[in-house]
Amino acid sequence: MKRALLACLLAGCVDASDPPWQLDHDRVLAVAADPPRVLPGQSARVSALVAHAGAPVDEEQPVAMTVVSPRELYTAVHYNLDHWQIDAPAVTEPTALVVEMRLPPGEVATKTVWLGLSGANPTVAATVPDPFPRGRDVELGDGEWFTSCGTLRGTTLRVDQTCDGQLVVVVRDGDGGVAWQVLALRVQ
Amino acid sequence: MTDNLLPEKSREISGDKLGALRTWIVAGVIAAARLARADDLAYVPGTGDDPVRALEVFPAIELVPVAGVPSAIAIRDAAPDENKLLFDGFEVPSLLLGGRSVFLRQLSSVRVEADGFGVEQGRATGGLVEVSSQSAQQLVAELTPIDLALGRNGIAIRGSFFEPVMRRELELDPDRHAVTFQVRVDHRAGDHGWLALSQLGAIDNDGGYVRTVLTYRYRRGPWRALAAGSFMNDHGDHWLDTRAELRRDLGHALGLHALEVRAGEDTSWVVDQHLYAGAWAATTAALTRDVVFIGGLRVDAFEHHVTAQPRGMLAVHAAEMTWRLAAGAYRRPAMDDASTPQRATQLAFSVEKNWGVSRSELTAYYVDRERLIVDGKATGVATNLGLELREVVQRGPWRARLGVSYSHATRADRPTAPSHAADYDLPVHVDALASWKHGAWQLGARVQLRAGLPYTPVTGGIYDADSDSYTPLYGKPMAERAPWRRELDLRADRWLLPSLRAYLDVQLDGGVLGYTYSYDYMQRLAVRAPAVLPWLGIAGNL
Repeated sequence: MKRALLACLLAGCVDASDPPWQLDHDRVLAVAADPPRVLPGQSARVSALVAHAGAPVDEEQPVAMTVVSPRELYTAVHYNLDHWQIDAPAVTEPTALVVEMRLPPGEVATKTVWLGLSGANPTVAATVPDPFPRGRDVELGDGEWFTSCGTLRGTTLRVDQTCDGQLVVVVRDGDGGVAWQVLALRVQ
Repeated sequence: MTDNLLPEKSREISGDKLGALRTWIVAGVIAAARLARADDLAYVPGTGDDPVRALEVFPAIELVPVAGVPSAIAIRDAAPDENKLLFDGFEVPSLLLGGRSVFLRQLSSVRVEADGFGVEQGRATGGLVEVSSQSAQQLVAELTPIDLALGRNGIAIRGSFFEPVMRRELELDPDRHAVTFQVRVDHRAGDHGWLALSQLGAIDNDGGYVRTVLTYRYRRGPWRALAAGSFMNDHGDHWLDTRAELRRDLGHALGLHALEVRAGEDTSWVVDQHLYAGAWAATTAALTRDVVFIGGLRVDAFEHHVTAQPRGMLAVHAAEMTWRLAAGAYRRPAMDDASTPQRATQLAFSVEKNWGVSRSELTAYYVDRERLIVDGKATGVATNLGLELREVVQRGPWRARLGVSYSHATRADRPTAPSHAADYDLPVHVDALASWKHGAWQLGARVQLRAGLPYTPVTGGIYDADSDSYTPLYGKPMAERAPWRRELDLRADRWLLPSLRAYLDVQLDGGVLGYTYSYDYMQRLAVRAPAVLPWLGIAGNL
């Protein structure tokens, strides 16, 4: 409060908005291709972890998908019965296939899938205390964290009030591989 | 277009009783300029005693805020990078650091030219703001809530001691520092020469810049000469610049009442980047006792392009009024040096009337711009049509001024494309202030009303899953505007000694400066000015 008042007094104010770690907000948290690197003849499925205002996070499938680049590989994207998938064509060298998808809340996302390479998504196995201690800074560990309770500063979570919510961690391997874990958060 | 901010010597040229012919020539030379001693910009309410902030009393000038902090100068529709900021004749990247003037008010004078500028300067298509250093033997000091400035014998330094505290409180960047300094040392060189070394520096965590200028002036009989060299380190870029000019006063010649001819050159070399060179010739001639003409031609070489720019002004004193018509061509190098230079043609007509206790000035102008860079190509065009009224009243202890402007500035990506509001189109700007002086006190009030700047709305964002960030989706260019701004400023000055005063300056605003967006571009967030900003300070020459 003191900081906000000082900021308003000296440098003007900016209207408040939800911070990026807030799960109580409509947004895409991460998009994963499984596998993230595909060899010719293999297929990859794409899914997204989506946060909702006033509702828990869930995994969503794209409702539409298209190739952004390279445009000549537009046939690499298919709708197969009930889901979209990427069928890797033969390529002479590793190629970054950028796809654009529409997700159920109406959001649009882009994702790169590597063709001509093989690889799997990373794994994640995080834990949090249950019940979560109230009024204490708790270091959550590596990864990108999101919460519907308390305040996050980097990877440190502090919850000052009782709350039943969710905690999400997303791990990226830097080569397109993504994994996530959704944890229940109970603060008494 | 002189102003009551003018020093006495310049102020008198606006009167009905014109003196010597030379005075008329001086009048002509500065006709298109608004000249102010920075010290005269000291009592403007709502500025925190800052001379650059005080420039907004000119209807043509708008300070461009970044996150609520004034950071650059827009002149009419010209964007900050289309204007020229000079220190002792050489370009500097900014006159503001952390929302405050880079230069020290007590050691400077400021010249503003909005109706184009003379051939002596080039490589800009908008207006010009020039800070000239002045030597000062006395001790100068200034104390405000955020900084302290001290100077003596022409050397001054100002440090911000409050900003680190504020930044730590706001958890922004507690290690950030900001220091500005200014140096001016003079030396008489022989009977006719004068050598001056001046320096202006603005240093912060990002590096800032330091501009050093060495100027030699020579005056003997009808001859005047100037040779100057300068070095600037601007965030690691090294600039080496030169200027030279020669003037000859021919007096009564060629059937003219008075004639002066002058010519010069300037070069600007940014090491490992580009070399720009310009040459110019100009004349000032009194055709009759009531008609002065100033005209010249400038030729600029921008790496692969050579361009000629004629500029001129005619001033006529008739019917107890001064009428001026100024026109000129302006060129600015394109950012990539390969594209053709940006072009502007500026036309201004003004009439000025001195009523005794008051002075009125009305200016109509038109600016045409071409070859603006749009998406890497020099295809953009722009026009700006405007009207400015300025009224200055000084009677006894009362002083009042009014500035009103109306403009319509548009830009288009191509000549055939639909036009939209220019980035810095400010259709209406009203600035009225009054002050009253009694004994050791001076009280002032100022009202500002201005239309909001246009902006391109963001309609949403695309999530980039690779970088975990959002890319904005833009709507129609410059389709929306920030709300009107209304600001009331109050100020009280109290002289503690003849040259030492304390002041309280209160800015009442709270209006919306502009908009920013949430990280995912789904929420539009208003950036608001401080609702109440009090400012207490002490300044003086001891």
